[in-house]
Amino acid sequence: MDAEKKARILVVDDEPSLATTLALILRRAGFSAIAVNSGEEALALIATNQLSLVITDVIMPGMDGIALAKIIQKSYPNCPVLIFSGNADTQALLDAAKDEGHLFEVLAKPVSPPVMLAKVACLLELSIPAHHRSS
Amino acid sequence: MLGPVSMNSAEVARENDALRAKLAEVENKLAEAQEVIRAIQSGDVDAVVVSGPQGERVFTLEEAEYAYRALVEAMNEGAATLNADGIVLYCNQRLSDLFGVPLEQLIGNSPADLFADEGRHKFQTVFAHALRGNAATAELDLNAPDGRDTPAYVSVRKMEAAEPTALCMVVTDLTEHKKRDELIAAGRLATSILESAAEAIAVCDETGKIIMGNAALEELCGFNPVLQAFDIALPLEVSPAHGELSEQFSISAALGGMVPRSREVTFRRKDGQLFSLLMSSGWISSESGVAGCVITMADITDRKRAEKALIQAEKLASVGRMASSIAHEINNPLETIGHVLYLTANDPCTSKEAKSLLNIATQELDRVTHITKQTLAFHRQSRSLNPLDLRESVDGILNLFVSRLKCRGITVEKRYAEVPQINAVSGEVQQIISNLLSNSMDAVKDPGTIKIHISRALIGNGPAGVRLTVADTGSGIPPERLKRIFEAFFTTKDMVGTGLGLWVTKQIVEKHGATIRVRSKLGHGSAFSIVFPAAQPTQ
Repeated sequence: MDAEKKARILVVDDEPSLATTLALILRRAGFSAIAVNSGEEALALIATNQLSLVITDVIMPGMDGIALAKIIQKSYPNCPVLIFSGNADTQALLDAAKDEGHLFEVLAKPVSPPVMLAKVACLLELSIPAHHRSS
Repeated sequence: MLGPVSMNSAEVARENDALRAKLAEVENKLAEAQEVIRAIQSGDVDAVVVSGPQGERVFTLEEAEYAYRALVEAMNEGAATLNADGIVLYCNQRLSDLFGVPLEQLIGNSPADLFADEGRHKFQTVFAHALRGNAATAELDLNAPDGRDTPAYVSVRKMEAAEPTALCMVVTDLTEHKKRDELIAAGRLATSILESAAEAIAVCDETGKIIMGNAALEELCGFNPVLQAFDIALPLEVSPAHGELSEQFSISAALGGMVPRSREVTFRRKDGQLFSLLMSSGWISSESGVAGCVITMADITDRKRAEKALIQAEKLASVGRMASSIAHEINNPLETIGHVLYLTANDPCTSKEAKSLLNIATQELDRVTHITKQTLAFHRQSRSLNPLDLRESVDGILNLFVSRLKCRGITVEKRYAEVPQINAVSGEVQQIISNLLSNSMDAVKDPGTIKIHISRALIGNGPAGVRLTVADTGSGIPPERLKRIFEAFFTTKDMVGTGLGLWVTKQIVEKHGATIRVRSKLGHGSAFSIVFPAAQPTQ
C-alpha cells in the first residue's frame, strides 16, 4: 500500500498497553496507526492530522469516548468513529447521545483482532467515497 | 212536775255525792286519756291499754314502732329525722358510720356542717327545697374526719302531718355504685379497644386458657380460639435471636414473665399458611398473684416479605454494580491479552510449535471471554427491544444454572423447534427464564426433571408466536393457590419466597405483548408457558 494512501487510524484508550498493541496490530495490517491515552490528546491530534478513522474507548478520565465521538461527528463528518467499551455503564451514555441525535455503534470488549480488522476495513470502505468527494 | 216528794233531804244528799263521784271518775279518765295522748305524742309511753267490749287490750308503742325502727336500723342507707332548723332529732347507726361521726355527736346538730363546702351548699339547697314541701335530692361528697370522701346520694322529704315540722333524710353511699359504673365503663372501653385493635389480642387466665379474644385473633387462627389452651390454639415458634436456636413458645413462659416485649414468632395456621408475628405479653395481676396474661400479636408477614424483597433487590443491584465494575476491570486486560496473542502468533519469527501453543492460548481466552460476556452482559440492561433468539437466551441461562442443576440431580430435557426471533429486551427475557427455572428447581424433588420446550405457536388465528414452556415434575400447586400465583407477595414457598418472582415475570411478559399460562396437577407438577409474538421481518 502506498504511504500517501495509507489510511490513518487513531486509537484512543486510557490503558496504554491496550492502545499500543491495537495500534501495532493495525500497522501490521498495513494501516498507519497512532495510539493516544485521552480524549483531549485525540482532539489535539485530529486538528493537525487528517484522519481516516478514530477507534475510542468510552470510560476514560477527563473527556469520555462518547463526548469525543460527538465532537468528531460534528467537526469532522468524514471521519468515522468506532467505539469499543468494556463497561456495562456505557448504555446510559449511549442512550443520552441517541436522544441528542447521535447514533453510535459500540463493540463490546474484548474484541478479537480479526473481528476488529474486519470492522475497520468495513468502515474505511464505506467512508472512501466521501473522501473522494471531499478531496 | 215531780211526784210527791217522797225523798227526804238525806237521800238527796247521798245522790249528789254519787253523781259527784261519777263526775270525778270521768274527769280522771279524761285526764288519763289526755296524758296518754301527750305521752304518745312525746314518745314517753311504751304501751296503751284500751278497754273495749271484749275487755281491755294493750297496745304497746314498741310493737307498732319496733319493726319500723329495726328496719331503719337495718337499712344500708343512712337515715335521720330533722327539724325545721335542720337539726338531727334521730338518726340510724349507718348514718353515723357514713359520716364517721358518733351518733351522739350527730343528734342535736346540723348535718350541713359535716359536708365539705360544695356539699354543704348543695345540702342547704336540698333542705330548703324539702322544707317548702318538695322532695329534693342531690349527689354530694361526704367528708369523713379521716379525710376520705364518700360519694353519696342525699334525699330529704318533709313528713306529712308532722307537728312540729319534721323532715326525713336518707343518705345513700354511692361508692359501690360508682365503682360498678366505673367497672362497666372500663369494661366497655376494654372491649372496644380489644375489638378496634388491628393486632390479634388474646387474654389468658392463669392456666393459659384463652378467656377473651378479639376479631383479629379469630381471623388469625381461622376459628374462634376462646376457651382453648393458648399453646394448642396458637402453636408459635419463637424466631431465634442472634445465635440462638428457634424454640416453641409456651404460654407458661409468658405467665412467668419470661417473654420479652416485641418478640418475633412464626405461626403456622391449621391450613398451613405461615405468619410472622410480633408478639408482646403482659401480666394481669390480682391480689393473689398472676391472674393471667394478655398476649398481643401484630401480623408482620407482609412487612417481612417486603423487607426480604428489598434486601434481595438491593443485593441484585449491588451485584449489578459489582458486575459492571468487574466487567471493566476484566475486559480491558482480556482485550490486551488478545492483542498480544494475535501479534505473537502472526509474527514471522514465531516458530510453528509456538504458534500452535499460542493457538491453544487463544482458544482458552475465547472461553474466558465467552463466560464473562455471558455473565456480565446479564446486567447490561438495555432498555430497547431487539430481535433475539429465545433458544440462545435459554441456553445462556442454563449455562449459569448448570452446576446447581447437577448438584441437585435435576435433569433438563430440552426440545427446541425451528422458531422465528422475538422482539424483546434481552436482560428481561433472561430474567423471566431465570425466574421460571428457579421456581421449577424449588418445586422438583431431587432427583427430578425439568422440561424446556420452545416451539412455534399461533396467537389466536393471527400472527405467529414463539412458545416457551418450562415444566417440572414437582408436587404441583393446589387450585386455590394457583389462582393467586401471579399476585405480588403471594408465595407458595412460605418464608423462603418473596412472592415477587412470578409477579415480576408477569409484568415483563405483559410488557412484551406476550401471555403467560400455568397448568398444575397435584402430585404431578406444574408447567408455565409463555407465548411471545414473533418479530416481524424488517426487510
